[in-house]
Amino acid sequence: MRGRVTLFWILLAAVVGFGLFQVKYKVQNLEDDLRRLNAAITAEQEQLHVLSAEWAYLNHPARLQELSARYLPLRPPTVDQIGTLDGLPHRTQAATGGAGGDVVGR
Amino acid sequence: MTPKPIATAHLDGTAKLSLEVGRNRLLLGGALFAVAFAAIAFRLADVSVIKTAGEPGVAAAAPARAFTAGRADIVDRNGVILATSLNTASLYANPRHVLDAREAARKLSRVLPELRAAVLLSKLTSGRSFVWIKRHLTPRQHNSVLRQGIPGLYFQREERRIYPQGRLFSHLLGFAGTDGIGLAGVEKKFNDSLRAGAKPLVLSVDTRIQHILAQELAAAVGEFRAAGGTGLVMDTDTGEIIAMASLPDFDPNVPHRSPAKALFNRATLGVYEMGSTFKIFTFAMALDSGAVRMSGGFDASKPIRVARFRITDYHGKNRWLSVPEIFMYSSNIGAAKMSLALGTRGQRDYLGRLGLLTPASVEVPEVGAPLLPSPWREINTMTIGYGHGIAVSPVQLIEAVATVVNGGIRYRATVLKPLGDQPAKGRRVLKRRTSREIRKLLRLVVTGGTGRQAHAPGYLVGGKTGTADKSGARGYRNKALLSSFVGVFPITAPRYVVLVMIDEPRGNKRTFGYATGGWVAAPAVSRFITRAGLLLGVAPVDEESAQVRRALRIRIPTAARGRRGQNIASF
Repeated sequence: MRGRVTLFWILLAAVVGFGLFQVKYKVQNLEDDLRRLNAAITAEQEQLHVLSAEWAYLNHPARLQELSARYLPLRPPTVDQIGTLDGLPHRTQAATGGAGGDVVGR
Repeated sequence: MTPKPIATAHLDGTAKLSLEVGRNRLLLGGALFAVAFAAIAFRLADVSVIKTAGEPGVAAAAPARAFTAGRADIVDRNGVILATSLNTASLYANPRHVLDAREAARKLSRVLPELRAAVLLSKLTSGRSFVWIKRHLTPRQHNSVLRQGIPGLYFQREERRIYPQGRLFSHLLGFAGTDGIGLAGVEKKFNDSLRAGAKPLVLSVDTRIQHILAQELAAAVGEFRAAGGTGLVMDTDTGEIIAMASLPDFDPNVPHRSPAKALFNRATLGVYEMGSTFKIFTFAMALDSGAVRMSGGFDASKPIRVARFRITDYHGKNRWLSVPEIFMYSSNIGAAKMSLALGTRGQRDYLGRLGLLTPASVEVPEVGAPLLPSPWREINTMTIGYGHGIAVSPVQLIEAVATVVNGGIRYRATVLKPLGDQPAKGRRVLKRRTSREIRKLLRLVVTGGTGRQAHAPGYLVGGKTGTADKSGARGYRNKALLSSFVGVFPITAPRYVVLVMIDEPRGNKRTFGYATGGWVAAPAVSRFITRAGLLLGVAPVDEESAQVRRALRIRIPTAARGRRGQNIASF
């Protein structure tokens, strides 16, 4: 009787100890993962930072102007191309009533 | 189960007594231990089950370290990056670790063609333990050097300030030195907060508007082979500077490659005798104080002689001129007489309230102090009436013009975008009525006066030309002019003020040799407004509409005083 109880406790201690080590290693692995991920996030953020600087550089208005003139059939809008909602002819039905006076480009 | 017979003994006397004592002591000790264990058990349960002290139930993950690249960014009002810090790799070598210097030099010069193999070889065989090969590699160069796998080469992470917009904001931004300390411009003014990192510094400028202004300014400076120029755009209702350009400029990425004079910020540091644009203030002061009425006028038929000075008109009409005509034809004689009507004290008070006697409060370290006459005699009062004998910076001028046209409220010039939505704080310095009258006069200059070339269809430009003789070491030099135009649009309800100033322009065939503000600076303002008006959110209007005509109607009295003048609202 006494022997069995002892055996039970020894077994329990062994199982719990094993479980504890399992959890410990798992936590250790997870912490390694976390560190790696955090490092990756920081690296990603640095990449983003570099890319945003490059984006700003590539969007230099002089460069865009030149590219637009070379590749696009667009020209700067002139005053004649600007109208207001008030300037539009009314529809026959009473379907108007939008806010007047806004600038509308065509 | 049969009960076990219990052995009993009967003890008497001292033996029994001592046994009783021992039993009692044992009981007491046991009780003490029981209490102690109970306390420990209770505490154990308390700590591990009931309270959540000590180890938290759920482990908190270590947060990702927020990425910082040293100095904070500077962005424009729309968030476009104007200055940023990048971590770059700098390549250095430890020649003692280099195995094959010849091979290493050959490989390096292949991936970094700007480095010569012979120079590299001498560096790599120098026997020292540290030599820089190249500072601040681009990510691509970094990668290609890494792929060569040369032993003995190492990288040092360094921070570098980058200005993606190049020359566009050179004077406003200034620059930061290699050690990350701001040495000029906003970089210097806000050095401490920028170094603290964290949030980007948001400026009031707009990159698109800045580009248009810089381009038109450069075109004017180029066309008239001028020594330089400056341009400013200001929001009349907040004092925010939307664009600020000064030529010659420099590339803040490599400021040391530019001549020292290119670092000079004409918009804020330079102080100039502005010439006729100052008449805006002369008229505003005289009308506001009541010294002069719109229906009045002055005799401008003869030059004024005071002591050794002689005040003459550039666009002389040689007759009696009404107040609107004096403005329209930019008569110096009329303006001088008008200043006398107001008086020296009144002039000084008004100029002070308009901020023209103290340095501008704009947030750059390079702010020029105005040059004032001392003592302030009557002759100074007269010359200041048409913008000579007092020198102010362009940013002071535009701030004061904004004050005059926006209804008379002074907002301090700023290069910072205000936080939140609270309206800018201003101080009233002129009557609303004065502002309205000046606006009509400014429109008159563009419809029928010296500033006709500033006309930008649909945007109702008003403005004033200025042409000042530059003073040199020996008095005023002829032919060295400072030609400017300050434009306001739309004049019926001003939103923006634009100043273009060209330093020492030379007239050409197109301008029939003229290099005055109306010929040189006014067309640049016209082109700027035509291009930038829509970006600035100003809706073009029909300039011939009855509403506009009514708002700008002005009576010009004729020489015969008191008679009803002709109506010239239909210019």
